[in-house]
Amino acid sequence: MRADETGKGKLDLPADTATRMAVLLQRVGRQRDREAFALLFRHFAPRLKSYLIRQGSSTEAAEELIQDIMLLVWRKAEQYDPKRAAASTWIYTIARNRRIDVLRRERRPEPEPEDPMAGPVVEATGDAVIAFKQNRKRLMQAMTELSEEQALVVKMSFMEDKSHSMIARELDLPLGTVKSRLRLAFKRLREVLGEGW
Amino acid sequence: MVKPRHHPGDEWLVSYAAGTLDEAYSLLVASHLTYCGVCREKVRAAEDVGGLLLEQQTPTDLDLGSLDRVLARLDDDVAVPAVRDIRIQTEAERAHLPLPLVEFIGGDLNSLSWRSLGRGVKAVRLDAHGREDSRLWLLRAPPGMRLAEHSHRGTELVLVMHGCLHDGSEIFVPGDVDEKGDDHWHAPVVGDGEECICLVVTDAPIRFKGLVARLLQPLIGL
Repeated sequence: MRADETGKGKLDLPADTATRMAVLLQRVGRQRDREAFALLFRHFAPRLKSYLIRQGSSTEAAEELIQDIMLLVWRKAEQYDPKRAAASTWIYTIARNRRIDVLRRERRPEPEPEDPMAGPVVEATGDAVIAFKQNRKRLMQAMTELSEEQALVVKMSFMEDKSHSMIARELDLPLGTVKSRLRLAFKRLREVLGEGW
Repeated sequence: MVKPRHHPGDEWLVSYAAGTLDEAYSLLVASHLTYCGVCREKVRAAEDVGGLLLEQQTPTDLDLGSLDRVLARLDDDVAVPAVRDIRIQTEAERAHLPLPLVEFIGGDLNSLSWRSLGRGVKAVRLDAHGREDSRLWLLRAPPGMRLAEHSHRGTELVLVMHGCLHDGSEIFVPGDVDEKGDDHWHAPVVGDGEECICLVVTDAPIRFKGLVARLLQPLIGL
């Protein structure tokens, strides 16, 4: 395995990271492509390690979790749909569920994706890969436009596994303030990105 | 299936996407998502924030051989269930209950040890883990029943799964979430015709108003 992370090996890959990762993940899903998997690993595993350590994992536990997470990525890659999610988002959800299971020892209830009980889902239209490449850029921009207070509660939630009341205690704020900051941050992002971004 | 009109606040959806909720809240949100395409899209959008933040992490070096270790395990013959437990799925469909709930209790409602609270009202507290003092309940009440007037020291989320519930001027049907915050006094009434089955999460003991209800509180542990 000699291809470096930028993918300038045998594979002819897009230069944009988000698009490249989506292509690689699809290659793993469709062709069980080990080279593509190794490239995904080289990109995501070091980021997953930082993520897991920020979530309260020891470095040893993080290494073990990364093995689990990346094996799940390999096994579930067939289910990945680039119209529905960026590769990083898809891998994020696997990592999140796994760390809740292992680090917090709690169950993670999830709806069935195709549950007939749910109402109709808005289908992605047009060139989905281009759409989420643009969305990703706009999301990045929108995140920088959040107020400092809003960005902080978002980061503490997603990156530090802090519940509403843990954030309230840590920032010495009323619980209601924490909740409204999260609501406002999300509202702001949706305003910038449009509903169903 | 009627689209739900009453949703949990966005902070619950965002925190579900972030993975910070206790099992109790997580189950209630996942169960609501079973009915609600709108909130599923919101959760998906919020998960994108997680994806972006993961992407933006500064890489930390892995142990040497980490990639080789995982490559060596790719062909391990591990059965990954492609679909969920069919028995549980069938159970959920038959009972018109959200799949996450049926998975959580591992069977049907009749397998639970319901406690009678009088006047046909029954409740069972479900075993849910978490870091907060959250409590998870299933409640069933006969048609027309007025539930005890009560208030909270925290939040109460009620997901209606069968029958309907009137609370003030609002009506809650299956899939709807009734969210009540601090110091909101209310006495929900079960709609006529059908038994009402709800999933309830509270994050602090409920404070009942009436004396008898207060006397009952330690007994029923609400």
